[in-house]
Amino acid sequence: MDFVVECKNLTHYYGNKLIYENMSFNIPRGSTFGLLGKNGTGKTTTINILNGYLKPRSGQCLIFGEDSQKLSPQTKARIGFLMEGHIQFNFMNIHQIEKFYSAFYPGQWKKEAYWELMAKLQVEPDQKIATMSCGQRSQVALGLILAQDPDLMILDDYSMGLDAGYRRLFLDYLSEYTRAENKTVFITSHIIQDLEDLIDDFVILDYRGVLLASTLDRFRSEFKQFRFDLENDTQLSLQPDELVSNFEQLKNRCTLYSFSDPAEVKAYLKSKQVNFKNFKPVPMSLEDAFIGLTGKY
Amino acid sequence: MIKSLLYKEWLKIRWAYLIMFGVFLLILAKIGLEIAYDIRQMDANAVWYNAVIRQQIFYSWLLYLPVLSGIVIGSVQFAPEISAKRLKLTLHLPLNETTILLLMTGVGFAALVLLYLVACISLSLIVLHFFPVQVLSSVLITALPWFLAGLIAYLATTMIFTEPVWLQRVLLMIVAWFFLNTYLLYSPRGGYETYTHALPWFILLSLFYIISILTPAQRFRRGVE
Repeated sequence: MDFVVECKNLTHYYGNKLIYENMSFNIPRGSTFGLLGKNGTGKTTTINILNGYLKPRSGQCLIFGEDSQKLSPQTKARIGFLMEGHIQFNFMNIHQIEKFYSAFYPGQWKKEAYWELMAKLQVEPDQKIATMSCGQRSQVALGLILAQDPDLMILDDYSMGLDAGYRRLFLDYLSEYTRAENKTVFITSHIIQDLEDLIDDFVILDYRGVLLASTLDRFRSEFKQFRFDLENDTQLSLQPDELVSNFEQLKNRCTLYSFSDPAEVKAYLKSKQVNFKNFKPVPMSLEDAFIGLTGKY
Repeated sequence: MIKSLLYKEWLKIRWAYLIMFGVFLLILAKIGLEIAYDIRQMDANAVWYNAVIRQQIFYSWLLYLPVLSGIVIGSVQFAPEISAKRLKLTLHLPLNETTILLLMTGVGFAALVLLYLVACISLSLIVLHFFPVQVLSSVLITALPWFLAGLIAYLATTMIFTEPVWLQRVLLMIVAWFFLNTYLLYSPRGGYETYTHALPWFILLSLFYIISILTPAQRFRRGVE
């Protein structure tokens, strides 16, 4: 398979704090890859390593076959980069910033894509980006990336600070971009529900490292939520193990998350001498599944 | 691409640069007007006695101005790059990273050299208007370390801003203080050409900054924390 990004055995620490160990993933050309995780689990760290702004303790990332620590200008021209918080050169206005970036991407710059988005903004032509709202700044940043027309887009928490309308607008344009031939997206977000119809493959990080690497389809079909009630108000102490991914209890109402099928879960509960009733699988959104796997805290 | 990068740097420094240009011209005008006033009030002999025999430096208002301009231009150029780590966006541009950093620093450096050249030419015209040509070389040689200090202040400011670790930043500030103190300490009090013999050493010392100017930015690029 043709991979745009290949990360092999990435290990990184901040001081003595382990961020992750031996994380590996590949992103096939034309796919959308989500790196999911709570705040502080290493999403931005991974993006910094991918862009060459951080040297991992060990391991290597290849982008278009080049070591991410030594990306050539030609390869950088193929990568669109959205910084967390839609950071751009805020001392420029929308005309100045378009003029600035367009010179770096001769032959590939699609200024119509930028101006189409800018037409939707209620901003003065000479208004500095610094004085725009977070939503407006996100549109400027998105417009610039779309105009660059990169083969790979790296988006670091695009949803940060955006209201529902701007998030939807961002996603609509992003979906349009991913439908184009051979475009690849690497995305992180803390709003998991937005990614439900967007991503193909994903990795979920938690504070101990990689929790799960899967495709969205496989995850949806294999990861399940079961609810049951206890016969009495006893406190169960089911710890995550090979069968149980996560377990929550509120009074006598229990929720168990597992990759196993209902019969196996029932047998497991019986083996633990749990007296349960009203056992049923409950459908989940991607966000439910994410929280089910990573926990609420 | 290079033109576009220069355009970005110009957008950042233009207002501060024009203001510094204005401040320099105002101070130079003040120096010229003060000499003319003193000649009218005291007489030319007294002005000559103070300026040449007693070696009172009549343009000492210029002493700290190059350093101030160096710090201001370095700050307006690199503070926006470091705030929210925008330098990542700059380094993501499809150009060689060393070329990008050298061009950025080169813009501020060249702008200051132009400013100092204009200041030196203006000062020369003022001096030649009131004094014989022999005074001019002393005046310029005496002021040279001040302008050199301005360039050092600019390079030091860029390094302090791009350095990612606070401890190293403080060390860079101490080194800069040592340099600037050495270049400016005795100049106004010691008469003309106090530093003439030391000038080649000053220039040699300044190479420290030329050689190491990219080191903090490269540390930023590698993600040193």
